[in-house]
Amino acid sequence: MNPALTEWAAARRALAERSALGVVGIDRGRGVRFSGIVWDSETLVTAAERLHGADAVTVQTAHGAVPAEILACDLSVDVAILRAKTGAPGISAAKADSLASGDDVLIAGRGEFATSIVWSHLEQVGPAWRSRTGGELDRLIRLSPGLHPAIEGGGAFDLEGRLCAMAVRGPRHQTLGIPSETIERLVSTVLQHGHLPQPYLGVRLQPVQLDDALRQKLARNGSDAVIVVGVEPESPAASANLLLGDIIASIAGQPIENALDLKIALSRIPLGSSIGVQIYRAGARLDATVSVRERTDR
Amino acid sequence: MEMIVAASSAAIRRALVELTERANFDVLAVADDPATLTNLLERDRDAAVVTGGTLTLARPFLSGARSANAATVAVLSDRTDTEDRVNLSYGGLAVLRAVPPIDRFQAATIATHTGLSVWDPNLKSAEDPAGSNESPLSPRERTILELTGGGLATKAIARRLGISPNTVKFHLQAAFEKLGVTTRAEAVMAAIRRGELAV
Repeated sequence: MNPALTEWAAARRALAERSALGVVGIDRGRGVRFSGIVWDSETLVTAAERLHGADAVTVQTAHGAVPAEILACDLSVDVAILRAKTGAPGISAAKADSLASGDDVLIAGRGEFATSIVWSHLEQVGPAWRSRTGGELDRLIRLSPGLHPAIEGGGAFDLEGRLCAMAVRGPRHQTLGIPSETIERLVSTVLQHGHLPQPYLGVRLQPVQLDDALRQKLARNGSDAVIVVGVEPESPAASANLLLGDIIASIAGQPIENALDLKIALSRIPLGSSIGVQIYRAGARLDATVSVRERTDR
Repeated sequence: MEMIVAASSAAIRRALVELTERANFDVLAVADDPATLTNLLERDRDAAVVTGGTLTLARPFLSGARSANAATVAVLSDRTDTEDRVNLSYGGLAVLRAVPPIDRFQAATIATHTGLSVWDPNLKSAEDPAGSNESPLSPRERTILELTGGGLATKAIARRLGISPNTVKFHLQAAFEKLGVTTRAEAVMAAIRRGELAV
């Protein structure tokens, strides 16, 4: 027996056991199972896309099954926040700036009968990025490709047993890590408001190309812009008298080149605040002020 | 059914082979230039041809297949206009928009074998300046996507609209197909990009 190896194996097992306490299995019914993370004793997080619009699921812990209610989903970052009394203590999050490409992690999830552990590493750790669906992620984290569907929504834990990210499947068999800071931000918003407020302007947009003359007039680098093709009645945009055919040049000082830009610029604006929108209408620049609020339920 | 995959680009050939195999058709051979295709078709007169990419890339293979009277499926990613349709259509040719759903690909392939002509209504149209080739979302699909984007569960959407959860799922699936996406997040973003959902 090699004592160094024995010690190493014991340390790995201890880490796996500790990480396993921070994850649960999620059963959506009809045999669809994936994993979730115990954020605190009453809150879970999991991969939003895997819920397929379910409003309740069953959560499997080492001590049995408990029901969970879905509080909120942010599809743009693939995070769903659930309420369930698991009785587990909850994870502690790793400091984001302590992570680096190449760090060893273990991905923990839970299947129907047992914990699932996969030893892996952080293939890439990079700066903040935005998803193709308009989500803002505080950090780029890429794990080894080919995550098993049963542990999607589980946690990637560092060697101290702290949560680095939630593991989700991205396009082309990639495995993405949703950083714990991003999850933290969403959880605290949901616990404060009871849901995830979505700032809303009330415009429908289509892309347009600006010609050189217009670009110079608007002092823009690129030729991509968006034109308003619809203003929803009684929306903030309607109150601010935005019209069909207006080009939205910038919002709160952020230049807008496409609908994704607008969605992201809006998400950074606190609800209820009034912001400046620069538009281009019938050959002239115009400044409007809109008061951003949530979409009222129809 | 036995198919010959014909395309000059390796990437397109790979995609077409994958599509053909997923549709449970046998890939008999792969041709990377029109001359090879002609030779293969002389040997196997019953094989159907699948080609694709842009119309320019597919054209030489299409004319090779036509002169051999082979049933042909073209999976096109670029825009086509009415003139293309008039010039291209003949019994035994199916033109589909990339990437077609498997069932549509299967149905079109079988149709070409019986000498029918197929023209996918979802093909991007050169006449449409906005580029919204795709059929527009129905008001119901739009409302459901809007609520989905707000993070609402299927049952909650169903309750709000007074319809069954299965109907909600049906509309969502129809919207996914129109938008060419597979996830809820992509559907919401694609609808915003197309100017069909408000931000």
